[in-house]
Amino acid sequence: MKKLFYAIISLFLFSGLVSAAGPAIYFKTDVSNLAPSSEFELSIFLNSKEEVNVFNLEINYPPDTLKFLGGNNSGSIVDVWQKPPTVLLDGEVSLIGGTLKPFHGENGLIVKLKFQTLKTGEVFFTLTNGKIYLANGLGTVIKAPESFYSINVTSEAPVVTLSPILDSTPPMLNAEIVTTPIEAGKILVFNSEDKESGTDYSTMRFKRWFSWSDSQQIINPAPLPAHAWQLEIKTVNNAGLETNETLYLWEEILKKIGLLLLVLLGMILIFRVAPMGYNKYKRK
Amino acid sequence: MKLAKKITPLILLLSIFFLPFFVRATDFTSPGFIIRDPVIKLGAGFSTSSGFQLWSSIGQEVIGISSGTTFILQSGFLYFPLPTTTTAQPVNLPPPSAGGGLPPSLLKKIVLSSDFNNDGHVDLIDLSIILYFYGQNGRKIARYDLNGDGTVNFIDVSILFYYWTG
Repeated sequence: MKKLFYAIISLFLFSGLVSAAGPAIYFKTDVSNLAPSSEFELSIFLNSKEEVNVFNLEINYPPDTLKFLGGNNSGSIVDVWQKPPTVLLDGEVSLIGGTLKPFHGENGLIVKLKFQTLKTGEVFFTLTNGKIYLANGLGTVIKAPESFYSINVTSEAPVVTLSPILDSTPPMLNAEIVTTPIEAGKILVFNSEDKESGTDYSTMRFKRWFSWSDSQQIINPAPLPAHAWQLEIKTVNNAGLETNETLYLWEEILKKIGLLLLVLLGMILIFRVAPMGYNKYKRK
Repeated sequence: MKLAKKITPLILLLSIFFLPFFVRATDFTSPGFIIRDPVIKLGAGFSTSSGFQLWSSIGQEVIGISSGTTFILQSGFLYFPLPTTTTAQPVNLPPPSAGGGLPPSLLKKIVLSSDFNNDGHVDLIDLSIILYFYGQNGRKIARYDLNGDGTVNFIDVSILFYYWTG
């Protein structure tokens, strides 16, 4: 009985050690004291001795003291985002993404979150849910230990603003139309990247006939608008530079040409053949 | 007779152009609900989160009463008469399979194609698995090569995101 007790205790201790040595998330800012109406970036880093390739993080912040402005993925180890950094509830940011090449090591930047301070007070950032997935082909999940970080917002501190990002290179954009394997639908797949300043957002507009639709923000992958024959995809980086790519849906173009020809043929028939038939009928 | 000669082409022309106005929309159905006379708004998109997926339309979707065992959605344009039925209070959520009018069998097929660990969801585990095989080719990765081009690449990851259930 004693042996069993020690075995259970050892097992708990051992699992604790494994957890402590597992992947960990930590936060960092450039400033720790700042005044209201300041802007700053919270950098989120990953440390892992084991190879990992996917993460799902939920980070809490006080919404009455801070306003979430968005994410900046420049210098990030993340290659694919299931969705851009999103506020789930007020005061909770969700980050879901992965790396094409397994990551292991220290100080792997996941993303920088931009905030604006609204009023004075001590601000706590908390990792409330951190799931890291091992790159082992099985999707083994490891829970990252809770992580905290705090900064002070005081009226005595200086007002800090984020300096504009300097980047002279437009973002890279690769877009193509892909057929889905099951329902054989068409979707737009695009990959946008900017190593210097990071990508800000992507938009798409389309033509069904002759005029462009309004631009709408998209994330990869995006469904194709029905009956569109021309798409224009635009990616903008954090320095405001943009890259455009135009795609044509040849199937839809052929359909449209066919339809126009049919209408033309119908009109010819109506205005040429129908009166002839009527005259024939009249002669009888 | 002269008048008839002039009018006949015009009637034929008008009948061609006005034919689309008599086309009826197909109802959206799923085990949980029916949407009568759907009108898909232009600019529809695909919204997704860990909690939901909106596959097609946004804004005004219907011009009738959409009802299920758990809810009644009443909406319409100005000409639509005021519904007389009382609004039912939702008692529970529609079943998870209810979505976008896709037949349940097709939805099941879609999920199965990208659910590599067979837990009924296309989620982070499946993303981790497909990323593990990223860049590889050959027979052993056929299960993860979703578009069948011989290599696990960005397109396969994007297709997995398209089928994401969370």
